[in-house]
Amino acid sequence: MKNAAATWAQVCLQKLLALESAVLLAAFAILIVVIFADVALRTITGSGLLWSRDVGIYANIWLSMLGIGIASSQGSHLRPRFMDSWVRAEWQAWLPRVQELLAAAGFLVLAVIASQVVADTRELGDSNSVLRWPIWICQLCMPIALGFAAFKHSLFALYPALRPAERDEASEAPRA
Amino acid sequence: MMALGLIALVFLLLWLRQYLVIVLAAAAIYLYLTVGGGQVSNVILDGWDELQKDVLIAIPLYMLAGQLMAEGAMARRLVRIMRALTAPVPAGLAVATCLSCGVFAAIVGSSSVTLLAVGTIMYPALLAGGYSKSFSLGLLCAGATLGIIIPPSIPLILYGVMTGTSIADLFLAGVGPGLLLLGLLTAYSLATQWHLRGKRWDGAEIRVALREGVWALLMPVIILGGIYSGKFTATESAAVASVYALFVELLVYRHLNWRGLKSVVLDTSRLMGGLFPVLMMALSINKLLVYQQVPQMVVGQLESFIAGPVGFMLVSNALLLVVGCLMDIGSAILLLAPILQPVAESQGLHPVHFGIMMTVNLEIGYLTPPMGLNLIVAMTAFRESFGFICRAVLPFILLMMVGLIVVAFWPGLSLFMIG
Repeated sequence: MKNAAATWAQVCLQKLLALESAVLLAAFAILIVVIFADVALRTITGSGLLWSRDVGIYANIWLSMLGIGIASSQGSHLRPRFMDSWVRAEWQAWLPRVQELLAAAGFLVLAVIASQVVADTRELGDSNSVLRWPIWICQLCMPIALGFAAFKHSLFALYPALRPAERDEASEAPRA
Repeated sequence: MMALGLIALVFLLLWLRQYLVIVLAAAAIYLYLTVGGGQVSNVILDGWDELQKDVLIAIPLYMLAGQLMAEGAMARRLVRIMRALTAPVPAGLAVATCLSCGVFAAIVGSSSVTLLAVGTIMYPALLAGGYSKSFSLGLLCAGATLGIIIPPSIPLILYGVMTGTSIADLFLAGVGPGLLLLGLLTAYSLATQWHLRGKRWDGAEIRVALREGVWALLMPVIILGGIYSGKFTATESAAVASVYALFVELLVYRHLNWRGLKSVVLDTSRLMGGLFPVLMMALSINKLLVYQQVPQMVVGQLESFIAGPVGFMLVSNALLLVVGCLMDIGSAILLLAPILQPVAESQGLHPVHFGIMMTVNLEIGYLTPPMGLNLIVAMTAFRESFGFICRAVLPFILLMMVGLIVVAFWPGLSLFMIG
C-alpha cells in the first residue's frame, strides 16, 4: 500500500516536472525571440517592437517562477549551509522531513498570499498599458508555481526517498 | 525586541536547513506584520513590481549563453586558441589557463561555469605539462572567479538592481579590476612556474586554432563591443549573445543537438528558479526597509562609530570577507548591498566603486572554506579532497587580497572609464 502511494507520488512529480518543463521551454523561446527581434528590427529598419519589453518581462517572470519547480525537483534552491554541522547527529534522521515540511508550509503560505494578490488585481481590472493584457493573467504564474512547489515539498516530506540530492547553485556537480 | 525576534526567526529557520527563499519570505512576512501595517500581501505585490525591471531579463539570457558555450564546442575552441598563442612563453599553459578564464568570463558571467568549462579541459593538460596538482587546482579555482568581475557579470547586475546603480557603469567599472586580477594571476604563474619552458610557436596550429575558433572569439567582441559602443543595452546584448551562441553551436559547430539544447535551457531555468524567488523576496524586504527609512537609520547609527571612508572600507571589507565564507555571492549581495551602499555613499564612496569592491571581496568567498563554491565544485569535478583544494588555493587567496586592497584604495582603477 505504502509502495503504491510512493509510486503514485513519483508519477505525480514526473508529470508535474514535464508540465513545468514544457511551459518553461515556451517562455524561454518567447523571451529570446521577442528581445532579439526588437534589436534586429531596430538595427535593420530603425524602429523596434514597442511591446517586446513587456512581453519579455512577463516571459521572464513566468520562466523564473516555474523554475522554482525545477529547482525543487533537482535540489538546487539556494541554502546557506554554515549551520548544518550545528545539529546533533541523532537528529539528522528526522531533520530532512522537518526541512521539507517547513518548506512546503512556506511555499503554501506564499501561494495563498499570491492567490489573494491575483484576485485583488482581477477585481481592480488592471491591465498592461502597452499590451492591453489583464495583469492578473500574467500574475497567475505566482500562485501556480508556488503551489506546485508546496505540493512537491510535501511529497518529499512524506517520502524522503523521492527527495533529490542537494546541488550547489550554478554548478553541474551534485554536492559531494 | 522586534529585531531580536527577527534574528531568532532567521537563525531558527537556517538551523532547520530552510531554503533561503523560505527564510527571506518568513522575514518579509514578519516585518510586514510588525512594522508594515500588517499588509502581508505586499510581500508578493512588491516583489512582483520589482521583478518588472527589464534589466532582470539579462540574467537568464547571459546564463543561457554561458551554459550553451560550456556544453557546446566554443569553450574548447577558445582554450585551444589561448594554448596555441602562449605555447612559446615559459609557463605557457598556466598563462593560457588565466587568459582562457578571462576570455570565457567575459562571456558567461559565472564562476562555476567558467571553472567547469575551462577546468575540464585545462586540468589534465596542466598535469601532463608538469605543473603540480596543487598549483593547477589553485590556479583554476582562482581564475574561474574572474567570471564574476569581468563584465558581463550577474553579481554586478544584482548589485545594480538592489541599489539602483547603473549596470552599464558597473560593467565599465569591472574592466579595470578584472584586468588587474588577471594580471596578478598571470604574473604569479610566470614567477612560480618560469622553469617550465615553452616550446616553439607552431604556425600551423595557430592558424587552425584561429580558423576553428574564430566564431567563439567573436562572442566577447559582440557582447562587450555592443554594450560599450552603445549599440545595445545590457539586456539586448544578452539576447544577442544567446542567439549567437545558439546559431554557432547548433548550425556552425553542430556540437549541440535539440535534445542537448533542451537540457541546457532547463538547466538554466533551474538556476533561475533558485535565484529569482530569492531576489523577489529580497527586493520586497528592501522596499519595506526603504519605506521605513531603515538605511538612513543604519547610516545614522554607523556614522558615529566609523572614522571616515578608510575606517568604513576596513570594516566593510572585513565583514564581507566573513560573509563570503558563509554565503554565496548572490545571497550576500541581495542581503547586504542595500544596507551597506547608503553607508558607503555617506562616507563619500562612489556607489559604482563600492559595488566593484564588494564584488571583488565576495569573489574571494568562492575560495574560502567552508562554503567556497569553487572549492566544492573543484572537489567534485576533479576528485580531490576538500582539504587539499583549500591548501591549493591559499596563495591565490593572498593574491586576490592584494587585488582587493588595490581596488579598494584606488577608485580610479574602477572609475576611469565612467564619465
